[in-house]
Amino acid sequence: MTPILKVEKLTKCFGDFCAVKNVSLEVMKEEIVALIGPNGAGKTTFYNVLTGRYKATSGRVIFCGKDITNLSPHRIVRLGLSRSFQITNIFLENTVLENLLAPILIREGLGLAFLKKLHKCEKQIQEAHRILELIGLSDKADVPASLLAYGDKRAVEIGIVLAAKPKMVLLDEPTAGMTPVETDKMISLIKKLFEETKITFLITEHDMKVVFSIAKRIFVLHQGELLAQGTPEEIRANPKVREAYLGGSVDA
Amino acid sequence: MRKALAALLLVSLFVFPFFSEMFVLLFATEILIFSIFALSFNLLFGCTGLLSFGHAAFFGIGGYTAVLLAYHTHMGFIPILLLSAVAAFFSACIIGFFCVRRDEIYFAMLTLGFGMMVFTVVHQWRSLTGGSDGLSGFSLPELSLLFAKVSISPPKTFYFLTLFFFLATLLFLKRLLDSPFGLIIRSIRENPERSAFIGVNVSFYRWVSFVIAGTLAGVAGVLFVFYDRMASPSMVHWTMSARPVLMSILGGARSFLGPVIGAVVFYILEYIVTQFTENWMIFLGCILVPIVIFFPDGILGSLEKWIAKRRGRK
Repeated sequence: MTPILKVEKLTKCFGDFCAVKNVSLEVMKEEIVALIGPNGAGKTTFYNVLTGRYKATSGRVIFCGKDITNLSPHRIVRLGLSRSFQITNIFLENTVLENLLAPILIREGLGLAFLKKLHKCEKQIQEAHRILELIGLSDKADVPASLLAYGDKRAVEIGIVLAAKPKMVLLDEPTAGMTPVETDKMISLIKKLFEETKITFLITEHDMKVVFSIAKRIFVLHQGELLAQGTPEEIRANPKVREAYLGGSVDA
Repeated sequence: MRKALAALLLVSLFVFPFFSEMFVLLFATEILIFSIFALSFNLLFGCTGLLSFGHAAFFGIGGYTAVLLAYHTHMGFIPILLLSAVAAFFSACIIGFFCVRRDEIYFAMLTLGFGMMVFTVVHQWRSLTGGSDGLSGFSLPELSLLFAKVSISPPKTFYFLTLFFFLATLLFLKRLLDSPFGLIIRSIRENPERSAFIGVNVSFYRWVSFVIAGTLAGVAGVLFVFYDRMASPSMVHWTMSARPVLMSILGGARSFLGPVIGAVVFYILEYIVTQFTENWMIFLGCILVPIVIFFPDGILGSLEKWIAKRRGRK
């Protein structure tokens, strides 16, 4: 197995404060892994450096054998590494269909097709509808995204990520702020996506139930450093991890 | 209903010059020119989400290029228009390249800064631009249609010429906004950060939008100098850049025809108010403030929302 993502000694400091310290890890092709850690452990910062939102202080990120360290976000997405956001970050005034159509058009190099009419891009619209079906929003295609319920907005967030046809997806707390019912729906969506698309997933989450039910392998981040990695059983049994979480919640 | 209204408006735009007074004809011509200018501005503002305070730079560069060509050459109207549009295009390429590096207030400040630079050049380079006097006293170029050469001097001819460019601008922009490019710039307006994370090179698309807007403003500038029979530094002054901002907000920046309605209302108000007082800007302010506070969607935008609401209720 070859790693699809290889992070080497990645560090991100803001002045004197280092949110990510010397983190090295590897994610294999067609793997579904989780990155966990208490609030403020540096998970989101880690994502922001991987996806070009922040510049790395030092270290390297290799994706599909290519050095993507400090490339701009749109380049990284075009190479096949796509992400979702913890705080819903979608195109609110656009319809649900348009939310998914934009990444597809860009991916196919149609962004500058001035003279083509949007509704004549049938192939791309069909593809967007397929994704809508996958995320269970077929009946909401023409609704402005701002009018959706919270859970559905989160699903659109995932749909936008998929529309970019990534090789690997980083999900940042996909179930943040969800009701238990919505959370279960999201978990089964992610499982379904993984089975159907074989995309590699890296998921941050602090709901341990979600993590243990999805991930085959887990990385633990604590105060910006990689504290442990292993299978869910190994992580559960790891005393250092237990300590970081102050006991309790790892068993949940 | 909507189509019938549009058809009626279109027919009246074609028919009224045969019945109207000279003054109304000139007035309508100027409104159409400024509608093109405001529409070009709104491609950036309403559609891409970038507020430019320097759009008059391209209006002026187009206008001055046209006057200089009319002064020093014997070219016809169409070659002059094309070359002036090319001049506006290239200056928008260069100025835009720097401005789209930043957004929001920083973008506005950059455009304002470049606008002031262009104004200073136009104002100080007396030998070329005539300085504060501007350039006048040139002979109007002729318009070559298939077999005949037509003088664009009669107001009626010039009105129809302007109407042609106005309708062409509308069709062009409509097509542009209905294309994949239109969806991408709308997405950028909605959420520039997320746009980058779906693979959009945000500053590149903003640049393209900037260049199209600047080129169209150049075309409006060409029409304006031949309408006004002169090019003056007021064309590139920052108060000229403020006009399309006011017109778009007045009419509704999110509505396709908002800037046009804004231009019409702006001119009619100016005409009425200046009959009573010199200080018409005070009255404009008195109208603008409540519109921004109570009807942020502008005249047309609020009207459209109201109609949609009533329809929903039925």
